[in-house]
Amino acid sequence: MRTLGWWCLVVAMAGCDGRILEPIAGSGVGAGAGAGAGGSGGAGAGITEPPPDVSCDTSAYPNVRLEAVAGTFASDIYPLMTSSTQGCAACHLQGMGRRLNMTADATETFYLIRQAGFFADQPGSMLDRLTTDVALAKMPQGRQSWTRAQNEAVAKIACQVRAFSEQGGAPIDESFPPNLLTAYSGPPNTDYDNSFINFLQLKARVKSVFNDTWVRGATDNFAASISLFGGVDYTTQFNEARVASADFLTGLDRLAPDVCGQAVANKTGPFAGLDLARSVVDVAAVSTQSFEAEASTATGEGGGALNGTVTSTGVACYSNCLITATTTIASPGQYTFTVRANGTYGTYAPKLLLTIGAGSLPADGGTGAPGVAQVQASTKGVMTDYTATITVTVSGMVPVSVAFTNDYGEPAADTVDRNVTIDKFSITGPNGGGGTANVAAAKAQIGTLYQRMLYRDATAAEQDSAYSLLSDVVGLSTLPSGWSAVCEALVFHPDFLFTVPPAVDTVTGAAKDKLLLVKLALDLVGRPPTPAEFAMIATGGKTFSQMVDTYLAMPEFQAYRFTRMRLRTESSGTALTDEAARLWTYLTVTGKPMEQLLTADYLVDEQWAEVSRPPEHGKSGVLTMKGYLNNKQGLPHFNFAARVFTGFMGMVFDVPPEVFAMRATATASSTVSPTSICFNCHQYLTPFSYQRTRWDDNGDYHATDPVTMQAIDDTDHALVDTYPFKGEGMEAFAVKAVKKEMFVRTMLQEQWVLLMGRPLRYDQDERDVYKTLWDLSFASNGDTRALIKSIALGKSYQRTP
Amino acid sequence: MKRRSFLAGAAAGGAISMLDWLGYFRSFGVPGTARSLGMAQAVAQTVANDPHFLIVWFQEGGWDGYCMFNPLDTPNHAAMTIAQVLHPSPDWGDQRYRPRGYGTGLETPPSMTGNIQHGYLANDGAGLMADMAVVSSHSGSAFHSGSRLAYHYGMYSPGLALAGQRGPTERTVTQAFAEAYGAKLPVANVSWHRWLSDGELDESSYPEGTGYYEKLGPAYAHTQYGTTPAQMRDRLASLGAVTNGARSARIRTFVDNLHNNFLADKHSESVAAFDSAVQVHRQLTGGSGVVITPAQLFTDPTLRSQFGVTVADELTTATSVNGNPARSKNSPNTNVQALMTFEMMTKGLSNAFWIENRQVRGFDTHRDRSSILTNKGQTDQLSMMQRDLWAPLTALVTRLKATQYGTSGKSYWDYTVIMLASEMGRTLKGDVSSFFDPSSPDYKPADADKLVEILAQDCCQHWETSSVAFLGGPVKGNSQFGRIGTMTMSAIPMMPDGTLDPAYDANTGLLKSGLTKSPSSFISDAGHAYSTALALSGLDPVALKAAGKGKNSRPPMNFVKK
Repeated sequence: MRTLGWWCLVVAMAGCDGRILEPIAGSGVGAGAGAGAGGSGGAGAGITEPPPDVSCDTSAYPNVRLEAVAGTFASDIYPLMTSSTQGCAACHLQGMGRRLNMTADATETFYLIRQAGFFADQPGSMLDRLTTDVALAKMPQGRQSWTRAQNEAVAKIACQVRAFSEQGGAPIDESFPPNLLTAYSGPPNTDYDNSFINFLQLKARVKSVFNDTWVRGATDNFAASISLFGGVDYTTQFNEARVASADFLTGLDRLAPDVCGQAVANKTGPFAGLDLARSVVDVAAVSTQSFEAEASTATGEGGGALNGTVTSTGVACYSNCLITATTTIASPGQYTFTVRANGTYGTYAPKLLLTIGAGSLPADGGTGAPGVAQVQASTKGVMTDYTATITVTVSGMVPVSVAFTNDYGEPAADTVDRNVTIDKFSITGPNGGGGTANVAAAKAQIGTLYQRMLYRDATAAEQDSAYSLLSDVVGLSTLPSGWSAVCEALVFHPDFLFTVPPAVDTVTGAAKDKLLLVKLALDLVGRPPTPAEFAMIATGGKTFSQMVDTYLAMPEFQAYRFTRMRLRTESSGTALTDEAARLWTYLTVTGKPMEQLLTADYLVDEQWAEVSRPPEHGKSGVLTMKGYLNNKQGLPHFNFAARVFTGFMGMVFDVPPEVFAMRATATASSTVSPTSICFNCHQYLTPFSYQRTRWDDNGDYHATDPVTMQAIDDTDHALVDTYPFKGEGMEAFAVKAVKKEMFVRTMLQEQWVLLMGRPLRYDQDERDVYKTLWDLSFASNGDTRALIKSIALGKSYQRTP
Repeated sequence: MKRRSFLAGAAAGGAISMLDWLGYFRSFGVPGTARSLGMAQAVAQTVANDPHFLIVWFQEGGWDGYCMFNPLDTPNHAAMTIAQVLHPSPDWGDQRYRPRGYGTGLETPPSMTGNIQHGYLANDGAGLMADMAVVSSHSGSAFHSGSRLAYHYGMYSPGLALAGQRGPTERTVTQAFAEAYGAKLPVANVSWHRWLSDGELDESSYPEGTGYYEKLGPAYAHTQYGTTPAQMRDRLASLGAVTNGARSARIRTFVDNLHNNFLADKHSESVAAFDSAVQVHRQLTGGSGVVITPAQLFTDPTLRSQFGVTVADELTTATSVNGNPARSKNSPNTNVQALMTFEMMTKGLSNAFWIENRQVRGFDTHRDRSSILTNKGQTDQLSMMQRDLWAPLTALVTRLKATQYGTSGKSYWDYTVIMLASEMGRTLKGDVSSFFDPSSPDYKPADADKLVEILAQDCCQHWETSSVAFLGGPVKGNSQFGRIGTMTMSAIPMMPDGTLDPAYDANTGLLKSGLTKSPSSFISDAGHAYSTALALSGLDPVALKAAGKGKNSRPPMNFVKK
């Protein structure tokens, strides 16, 4: 997450109330369609001052020290840049898409401005934008213009910087940024590092876990769902989803029941060898619950008043009565119902109906009906225990009752009044209860599912929670349905859906290594580790570092990396447009210097072999590949140049509002005009576009213009004095470009993004990592594999402090 | 008893409409789980109490404004024989190029429909103009991506940075609308716009969270891509399938807990995206109580006939623009989008829509002078305009007017606001003076080179002269505000009440002698359009901005409101 605190503070200080740009038409008196930019608003603060003296005599600053210049900048210029009335922060803080960037640190800001070339003596420089008369270009936009003295202070700083450069040393744009050599002093970054699984990784994971391609009949369901999962097929889908989406989860809604259901039915994948027919519940332990009759609810017939007496020891019923209590049945099963009663009668003993929950006695008064049984209090005049076994089919809270029906259908009237006194009653059961084996077995199998699907043990809490899901669903449905439900839920588990299972942060040792290996395999070969690979690291046969080497050496690494490079180089999925992806993949797999991406003098064919190219290509890598060129137009368009600079040099060409107005009628020549606000970007784009002019949009080479038959001038046309890639043709550009810090950084970023799923915070808290990778890139002669390994063994990837 | 009373009512009334269901749910609750009961009541209340629908219909690529709602009658020099010399008659810069056949047949000169003056590209929309307010003093932007973003987000101060990280207080117009009105809808904010479908936008320059960002505001307001009918049916199948029954509900509870535990105290772009995905998915699968049969959505033969839908219309296409890699919006034709919009509106699924032509840069009809002269005209946008806008829009409006909203006695149309826009207009001429001006960087010393440049000049360039139009129940129909000057060919500023700035000649557009522009007059832009769409929908754009729900700084054009 960005460090927004300072951003918010400065924006608040600055007020963010810059001028609202009016449309180009301005006063409405533009010269007409197609004629140019039309009118513009007023400029300046309305205070007339003589123009600043911006002359620069670099000899006036012998032995100038950059640290001293930075100090002057911090004390004299930076406060202006952060002021509420004249400041730049509202538009130029990092992350706001501008080429001139500020941070909360004055010294760092100085170096950033120097690095980006804004102290150079050229149009579009910081000084130029502060002093220009062009309203749309004049900075700060919508705020008070800087005074003559303030602008002269900027001019002095710029002159000192130029004086320093003239004293020699490596060009600033080919050196590690000096501002990043200082320790990071900002707030710690607390972002959670993890990237969401992509379409290919999901397919591979399902294949690995379930041994299932999700092909049903003639239908490839992954292909049919590619849009939901954000995959790319270069036919209908061209942009890969970079993050999680609701559509992805909708895709899982379709996938999970199908693959889990099939795995359960066939006992395959995570269910291989599991006992899915065994009950997942146990009978509860035997217990006895007793109820004193006098403490229970006693009513008469139909719930009316009791015709009898409640004493301190029991209830005497003189006619029909019902004595009821409530209990909780832990498990269905057979229960022993005991009632202590004393019957008085002549010939026919009183009958007592015993009920647990609910039940209907058969007409013949026989046994076996669920929930109910009948006994006769046959021992005259003596309190006696009478028992019956009752089958209970329900669990939970239920009523327990003893009912006396006085006038049952005896053959003849009794000679003695029939009454019964009930002392107490109890239930004991479930008979044979008390086991835990089924639950334990179910939880163990849940543990197995966690290991097979998420590559880790379930915690006790997770086992309990998943068991609860299992038993609930089994109660609603069937055993297979319950097991499938657990599986379906785990498909939605973050441990299943992120490249490194989030549980990695809760485990240590071998368990952590195992989860890190999952990420490594997904990142490098696009699939989870095989059992053999897990075993390598579990048994100590190979270290994590060696596993990196193992994966890098696999053909699968080349295959998966190729899919990444096709996206990165914007292939259209054809062999021709794959050319750039093949070269980049080849360099990575073979360890050849990464600078060959722009300087290789060969192609890589579909069999991954080097193929020489005609001499006109020179050392130009992807830049003169037919498959790269024909997706990107050259002059009068700047697509090609912009793609190269954004793709390989890390530049972002944002178009702020003041430039919108200029774009419609700009021509190649006008973009590098000293008066043009296009200059900041086109000081690179336009000369480079001219260097490409011998290569047409089909990727064909023409030394001469086919119409005029004149030789095509593919130099940079000397359009911009400070253009750092001067020379003839693409090779001149390429051999200079690969030495630049921004090229090296872009190449490092590429590897970082592929493994970490986010850009390296190279100018913030990860500047030390950047330095390490920077040094390694030179020490290894640009071997991308070394960079990958360094990242994979680094603390961010290893999730160590 | 509740079920019996509902069925009795249904029996008495015959067919059970969606609104019957919702009304019943609101009054008596829904048979089923407590969760679905609550959601259904909420949906019903939202839909019933204060219904609002917003549709932005965007002609992506840049329409020919001078033939649309910036009507201007000119000669068509493209149809004449022009000598290819340095100074023909009329001179190059004075020539005007219109589509081939301009002034004849369907390509009529500007005409009036009611109070609205329009070019021939709007002739097919004449039947809608009684319900339409047109703003003809309007400025687009000359840059595709930047302009599109401005119509989504409005105009900022400081300016909207395309590649900048979107902030928590930014909202697109449909996100702001859906945030206010879509909380209980399963897929409130549906868009057929795709930021990265424009091949000029490099993915590496626009990482997650930059450019057009779907995940601003609460999750229910996040942009959901409309995609195709088949894919939308797949998505909506979740409405019934996932939570249908106690088993699925039990699994959902388990999964919800998993996700809640994971999301607690974590933040990053990937976590934010997962959070959004989870919340939107819950919104979709949370037992909304909306009773639909997804498999039948968008399949009604009568509707398909009314919207003119064929199988081919439902497919997506990919387009390579300016040699950039082929990209797709993953969208069907606009007639399909309109049909989907109608059904999703009337079935209580969504209320904010961004409809856009399927073809990437569909209206981006550049043409150089040489091609114009060879072809005897500019590219004619008439058939595109008919196919992508007027035919499906007319069908949609007809259906909305014919469909009663519940038992309100009003139609869906009464609660709907539709905005028509495009990134920009297009030029119909080309100024060649810079080729003759030695002080210009474009200067060509040799006459032959001058002529090459003149003939190669793009005379159908992006141009800021454009317009917006509003339709719907709250809109002041049969009205037009602003115009362009016949001499200036540019918009005449409007006063805050929509009248023309009196300092300008209302015909020529020239500033009257001795007068100055009124300080309060303005030319509308994407920001004004953004505000007006929200204001017509009953929202206060200023209050939304103050509440951190959008950063657009332009006021609404309240004069288009009834």
